[in-house]
Amino acid sequence: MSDKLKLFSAGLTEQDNMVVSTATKLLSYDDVGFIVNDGEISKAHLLIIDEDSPSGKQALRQSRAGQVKLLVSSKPKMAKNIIGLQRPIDLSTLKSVLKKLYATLHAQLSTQKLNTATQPKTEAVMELKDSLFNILIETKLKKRVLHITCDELPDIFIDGCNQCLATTANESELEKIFSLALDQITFYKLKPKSFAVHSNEMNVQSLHNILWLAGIRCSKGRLLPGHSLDKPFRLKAWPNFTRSSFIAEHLKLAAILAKQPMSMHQLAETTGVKMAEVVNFYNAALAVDLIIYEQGNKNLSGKSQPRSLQQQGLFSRIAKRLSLKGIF
Amino acid sequence: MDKIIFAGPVGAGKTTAIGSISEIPPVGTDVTCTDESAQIKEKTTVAMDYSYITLDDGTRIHLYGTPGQDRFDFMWQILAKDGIGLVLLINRDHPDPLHQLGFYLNAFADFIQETGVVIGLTKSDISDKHDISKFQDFLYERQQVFPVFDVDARSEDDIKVLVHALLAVLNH
Repeated sequence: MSDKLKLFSAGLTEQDNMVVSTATKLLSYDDVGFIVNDGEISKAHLLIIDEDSPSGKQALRQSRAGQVKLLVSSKPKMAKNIIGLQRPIDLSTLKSVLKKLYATLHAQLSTQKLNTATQPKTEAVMELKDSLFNILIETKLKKRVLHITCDELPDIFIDGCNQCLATTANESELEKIFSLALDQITFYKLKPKSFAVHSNEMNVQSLHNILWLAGIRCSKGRLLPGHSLDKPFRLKAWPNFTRSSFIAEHLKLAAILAKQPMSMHQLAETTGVKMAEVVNFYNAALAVDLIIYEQGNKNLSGKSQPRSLQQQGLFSRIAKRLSLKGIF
Repeated sequence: MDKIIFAGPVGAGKTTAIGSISEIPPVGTDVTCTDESAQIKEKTTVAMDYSYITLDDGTRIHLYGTPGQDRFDFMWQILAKDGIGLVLLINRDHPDPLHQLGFYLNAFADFIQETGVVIGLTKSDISDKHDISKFQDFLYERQQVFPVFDVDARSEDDIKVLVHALLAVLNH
C-alpha cells in the first residue's frame, strides 16, 4: 500500500464520525490509506472539523494555516486549503473528496521530498560571459550591424539600429548556432546600409525573437554579468508565448512577476522552479526589455484570489485535457 | 457550471477560436448582419456560441462565445456569471484595436477582478499595423499586466496557449 496520510477529526457528531470511519475503510481497499487521529493535530496532513462545535472551533485554533481542512457545517464554504462539507456528511461525497485529496497531497509531498533532496538551499550561479547571447545584446544596445557566420550553418545578419535580423536558419539551426563556442563563430561589423543588401530574399524578423530564444537556450543557468539574484524585479508585459519558445514553468513565472516584484531567489523558493530556469527566463526577459525593477509588495493586475483545492484540481485537469506536445 | 468565456468585438474570431479546441463544432446563434457589422462579416452571433471539452473525470468545461455587437452587451454579464475566466480576442486589423481592448476590459472589469483574463490578438497574418508592444504599453499604463499574445484563431495550439496562460493567471 502507498504511504498513508494522517487525518485528524474534531468536533464531529457520532454519525459523521461513523461516516469518516466507513469512508477511510472503503478507500483502504483501493490503496488510498489514512491514519485517523493518531498524533497531534498540527502534524496531520488533513483535518475534518465540524466548525460549529466547541471542540471543532478549538481544533481550528490549534491548526496551521497551510493545513488542508474539510470543514463540516450547515453552510459550507470554500477557500484556499478549505473544502466545505454539508452536515451530515454524505459518505459518497466524502469518499470522492478524500480520494482526490490523497492524490494531490501525495504528489505535493513527493515533490517536496524531491526538491529538498536535489536542490541545495542556496545555489551557486555562474556568470554568463563570452557567449553569442552577450554579443547579440551588445549589438542591440550599441546599435551595430553585424554579420555572423559559422561552418555549415546559415549566416545571420543583425541590424541593431532597426532591431531586426535576417537569416535563412530555422529554429533548430539557430539553437545549434547558439550552442557553439565563440571561437567557432566569425563576426563582421557592417555598415548600416549593408543590411538591406545582405538581407535581400531572407526572412527578416524582429531581433526580439532571436534574443528571447538565445536567452532561453544560451544561458544554461548562467546569469548575465552585473545582475543580482537578490534584486526584486517584475515584468512590465508578458512574453509573447504563442510566438516564442517556452516551457510550462515560464507561464508560472510570468503570472507571478506580472503581479508583483520578486528576486530570483524568492521566485525559485516560492515556485519550486529550478534556479537555472529562473535565470534563463530572467536573461531572456531582460534581453527583450520586459524587466523593470521595483521593490515592495505592490500587487498589480488585480488582486489575487486564493483558489480552493477543488479549483486547483479542476485547473490541472483542464491543463491536462488541453496539453501541448513537448510543453505540458 | 464550469465555463470559459470568449469575448471580443465582431469578427475577432471567437467562434473560430472555440471551434479550434472544442469537441464539437460550436452551436451558434448566427443571423445575417444588417447593420454596420455587415461590412466586417456576413453573419454575426446574436445570443451565444456554445461548445465544450470533456475532462478525464467526465466533467464538461463549457465554452461560451459572447455576441460581439455591443447592443447585445446585456448577454455578456449573463454568460459570464460563475465563469472560470475570460479569453478576450481583439482584431488587430481593426482601425482602433486599443480602444476596443479598453472597452472590453472595462465592460468585463468585475468579472476580470474576480477571475482572470488573457488577450489574443487575431489576424496578425493580415495586419502588422499595430505592434504588440503598443498593446503591452497600453495594459501597463492601466496597471493591468495581463497576458497578450498574437494568435491565429484557427490554430489549436495558439488557443491552447491562451487557455494555459489563463490557468496560470488563475493559479497564481
